[in-house]
Amino acid sequence: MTASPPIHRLSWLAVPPATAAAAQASAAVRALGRLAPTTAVGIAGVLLWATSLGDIRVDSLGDYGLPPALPVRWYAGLALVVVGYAAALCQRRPSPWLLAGFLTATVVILYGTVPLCTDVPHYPWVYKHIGVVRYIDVHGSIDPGIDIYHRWPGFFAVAALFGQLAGQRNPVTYAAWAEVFFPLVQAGIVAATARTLTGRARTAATAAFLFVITNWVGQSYFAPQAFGLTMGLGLYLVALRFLTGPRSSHLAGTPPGPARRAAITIICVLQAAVVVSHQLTPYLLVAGMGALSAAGYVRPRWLTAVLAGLTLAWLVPNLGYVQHTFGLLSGTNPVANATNAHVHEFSPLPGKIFNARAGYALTVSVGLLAVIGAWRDLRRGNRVAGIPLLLAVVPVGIVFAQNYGGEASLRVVLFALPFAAVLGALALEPTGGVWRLRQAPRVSAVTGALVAMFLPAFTGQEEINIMTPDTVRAADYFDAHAEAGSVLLLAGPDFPLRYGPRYPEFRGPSSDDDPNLLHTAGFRHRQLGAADLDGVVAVLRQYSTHGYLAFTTSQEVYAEVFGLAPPGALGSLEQAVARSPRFQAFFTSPTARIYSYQAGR
Amino acid sequence: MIEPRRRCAVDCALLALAALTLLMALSGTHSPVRAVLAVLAAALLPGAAALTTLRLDDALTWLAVTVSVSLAMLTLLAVVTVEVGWWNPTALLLCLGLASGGVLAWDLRRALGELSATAPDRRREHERHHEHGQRREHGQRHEHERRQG
Repeated sequence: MTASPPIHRLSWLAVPPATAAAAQASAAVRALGRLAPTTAVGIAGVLLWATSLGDIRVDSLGDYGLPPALPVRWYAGLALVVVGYAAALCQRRPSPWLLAGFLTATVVILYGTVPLCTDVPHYPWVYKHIGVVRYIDVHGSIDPGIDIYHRWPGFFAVAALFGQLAGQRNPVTYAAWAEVFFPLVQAGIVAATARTLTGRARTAATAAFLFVITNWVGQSYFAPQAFGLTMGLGLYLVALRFLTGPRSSHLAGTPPGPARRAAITIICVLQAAVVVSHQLTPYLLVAGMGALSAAGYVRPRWLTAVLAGLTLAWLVPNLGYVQHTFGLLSGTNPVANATNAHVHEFSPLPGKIFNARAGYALTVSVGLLAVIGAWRDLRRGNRVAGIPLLLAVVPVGIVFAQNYGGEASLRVVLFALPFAAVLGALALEPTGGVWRLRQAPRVSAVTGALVAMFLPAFTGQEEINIMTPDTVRAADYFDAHAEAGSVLLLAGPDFPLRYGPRYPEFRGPSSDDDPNLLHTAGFRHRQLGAADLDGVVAVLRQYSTHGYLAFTTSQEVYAEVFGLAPPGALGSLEQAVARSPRFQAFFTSPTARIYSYQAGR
Repeated sequence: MIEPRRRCAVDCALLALAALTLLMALSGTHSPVRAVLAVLAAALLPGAAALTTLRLDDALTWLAVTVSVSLAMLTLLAVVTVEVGWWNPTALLLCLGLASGGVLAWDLRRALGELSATAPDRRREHERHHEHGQRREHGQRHEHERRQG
């Protein structure tokens, strides 16, 4: 007797096409009905958030930054989106479109609120990147003698190219939106990686959501590291998808030769692009791929050597410059490297301490969630956690070699977070592996707590990060009209330095916020006035015989919240400068003034 | 991507995106629409063209890899031209757009070919469904008549 095939395998043959179409349509209607309440929650959340934007005032923020200035409707909108996301995730049959919609809404709410409420990009340090792009746009070339950006020009050259395509040659018009673009793309890659590792769509969606709501370090703005990380995450995804090793054969499986060769080519292209764009990321990718290869998760082994070769090939011609200007390694003491020495010179207001602690608490929470996820995966006997665990641990190696200008710990968080989020998603999976709507409160509670820590950590410094259009105009005016060979001395930190294409024509150190008076010990922690003018001129003349002195409202706020100078100190110094015959008004606006100084006047 | 019908749809959409972006860039239009189109074109076109030979059946992975590869290709092209002093963004973008468009058009042609090659199979399948349905209906009617006596 021959065994007949099971009926369910052939049942589709018995269904005429018209009936199948009708069944599909009816299933779609049922799905719509099932998802309608969750969709309505999401739409209500987005509407509440959108209508709250008009009520946000960013011009008088205190030391707690943006959170106290956000209206109740803003918080209600965000809460609805977070709860709606958990509900969409815990549906018996979740809709990928709905999850993608919630993820996008969360990114726009968390990262898009500031760009929507301000006229120019926030973060004063973003303007030096804009300056390099404008230089390339104007000159059509780079000059490695200018600064390190001209030696790793990938990101800036692409931005200049994009400016031509978009008809926006000055990135100031779109740079703020990089902070929405990069997290969105990176979240997509994190989701794809989690899906490749686990094969589970819900885990992928959870990983992407966790990544978005915990990425508090503010490194996703218009900068080479965000760009490098995006391509680096893509590199890992291609490796895990196509170059599986003996210990990862449970993943997609090794495809036939041509696809494997294509994947290797793509990985080399991605690494080459990262190598020319960012100084740190390629080393982390080499370390990550080396670790994956050594653990047997990725093959061929020689690929790591090729990636290392590409990295060193770009470093060697720049080695002398790096060694001379920054030093290749800043020390092997991880505690010293992970600490920002400058911070200890400040006596910040309570709001700043609270925001910093919220960031630390969030990092610890994500770390704990990742450990729980790895442990649960181990207990279940799955083989998923090994890869993200390796890739989350590798970036910690930075603090054993580099201080990275006091930002080493931020970079560790930035590069470890995508994989910690994948592990965190494993921690949030239900015990039996079956998702039900009744699990939504648990997911909402965890994600809600993370969002509560994210908000002060990420937006708690906006009182100094947000630039006024006047300040940016002042920087632009200086670039267009100041004398070549002069120096722009800042009264305090927080000014968009090196914003224009002429920035190499001016003198002064290339570090952020320099030269500035409050970095000089003699000007800190006391009232300033006419008696300090000789000191101001002396600082200015360290760099040039003619120069400019900039005062802005944001500098006063910075000095106050970090306790660098008593209230009114910079104001009284400016009054003395304005009255002095040695200085002349060069640019004047309500929130930014620049005075020019000429020796012998 | 594997499924030819989906490939056709994606290729058509990308070709339309390339044409629109190029049109707006060449006409010198300054609008947010152009900026949005430019973001989409820069993030998708070069990568999508490069990945036509790689089998990526999962849409999310395809999108993630496409964006990464697009950014990487643009970076390398921009760096090479700026390093060697051949910086000419208009020519570079035009060449890249035409090359990407050409590869996508070739892929579209291939996908259409695969679709038409499998069309007789699909027609036969459809006819088989139809015949099977009729036969079953006929059998049920016959059975019904037999029972009726």
